[in-house]
Amino acid sequence: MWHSLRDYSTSKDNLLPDRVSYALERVRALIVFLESGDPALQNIEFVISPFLQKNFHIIGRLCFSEGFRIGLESGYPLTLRQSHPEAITSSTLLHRALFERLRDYTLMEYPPEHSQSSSRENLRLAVLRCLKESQTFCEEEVRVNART
Amino acid sequence: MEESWLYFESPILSLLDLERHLSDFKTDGEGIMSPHRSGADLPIYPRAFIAASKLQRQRDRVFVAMPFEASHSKTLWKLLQSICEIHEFNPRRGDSAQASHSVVADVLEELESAEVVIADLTGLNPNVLYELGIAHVRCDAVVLLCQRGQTLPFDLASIRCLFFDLSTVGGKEELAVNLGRILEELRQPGKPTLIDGSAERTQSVIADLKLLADLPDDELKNEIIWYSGFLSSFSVGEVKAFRDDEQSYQDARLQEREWLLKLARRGCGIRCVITPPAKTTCCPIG
Repeated sequence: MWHSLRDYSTSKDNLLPDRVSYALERVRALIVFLESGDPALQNIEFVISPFLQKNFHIIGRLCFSEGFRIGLESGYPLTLRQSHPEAITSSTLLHRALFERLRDYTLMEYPPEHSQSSSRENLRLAVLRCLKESQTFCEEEVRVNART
Repeated sequence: MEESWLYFESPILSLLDLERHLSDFKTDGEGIMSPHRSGADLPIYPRAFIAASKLQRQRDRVFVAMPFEASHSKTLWKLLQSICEIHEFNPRRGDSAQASHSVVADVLEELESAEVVIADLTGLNPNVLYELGIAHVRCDAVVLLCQRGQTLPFDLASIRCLFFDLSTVGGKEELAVNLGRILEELRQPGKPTLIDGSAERTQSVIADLKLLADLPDDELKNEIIWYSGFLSSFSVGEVKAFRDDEQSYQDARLQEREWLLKLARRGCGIRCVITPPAKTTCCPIG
């Protein structure tokens, strides 16, 4: 099931030709961070979604905010911020479920070449693998755009 | 009467003195009455005061429990007054009362009348701690403030506290924004707010991250920050990737990244759902 999701990813849709180099820089920066060995990585986990999800922040039990695009510009110019405990709880419930499903997807779709004993480390390697594929893709897109 | 009241502050009090002093006070069977009041006397012990006073909470009234003589007191009080004014609250302190009542009775009256109580824990002033104890029992909305760098006692360490730094303009602004937001939320709990602008949105996220950072480490370890979107602010680096007109947005995202890193290094969990650009084709779904 997950394999077909990758085939039908909509993520390319989010790339405008003049934003490819921007996307490339951000992919590169994230790769650098994931390979940095920063102690913060002990507490940070990434998973891959084949579809661009809603733009969401849930900050502890303080609040959650959801960003909305109103055009093609970078970022989310309109944001709804909520702090009601019930709203935070329900959003967290949803996000936790989404995250766990996408953890399985990430590990299945981008299995690390050398599996590690730590599941956290396997996930980091899987995400790195995906990001490096993405980097190659963006570099190719930049070259194509330069030619045209 | 004023004089006899002062005797109570003396550590040495003979039984005869005690008998003489007690005879000066009217009692209601529950607590000692304030000797300073005339007419509508009210007890100065909280339990008796609450039973006797029957005060209504006044919407918009904020009582600030704070040390009056500390080095930061004047600046903080002025700042709190202006924050309250902006958010249409009426701030008062223990010395705000016009009548010549007992200070203790005035403070109890303020605590019983206030919609919100703000307590400045800087220096752990014993009067402030006494008033805070009463406020935690009697008031629904209590906001703790403390100068950054001070450690709070165990009983208060797990309660959300706004730490401030009044030595810089930025520090004052930060307190104004965070306290203002709390006051608004207390007035209308959970009311959603709309934020207009990408940079403003990121600034709002940063303000929330700073609030989270005020939690002690053992509390912070139980918190999780969830994110979903493109690549998260961990993908925002120093390399210029944003357009010229997006510079303030990039700066804000870099700040967001720094706060996230600080929190994660202290044990806060961060879970990010990201969608890197992929070499796949778009296909309409559903």
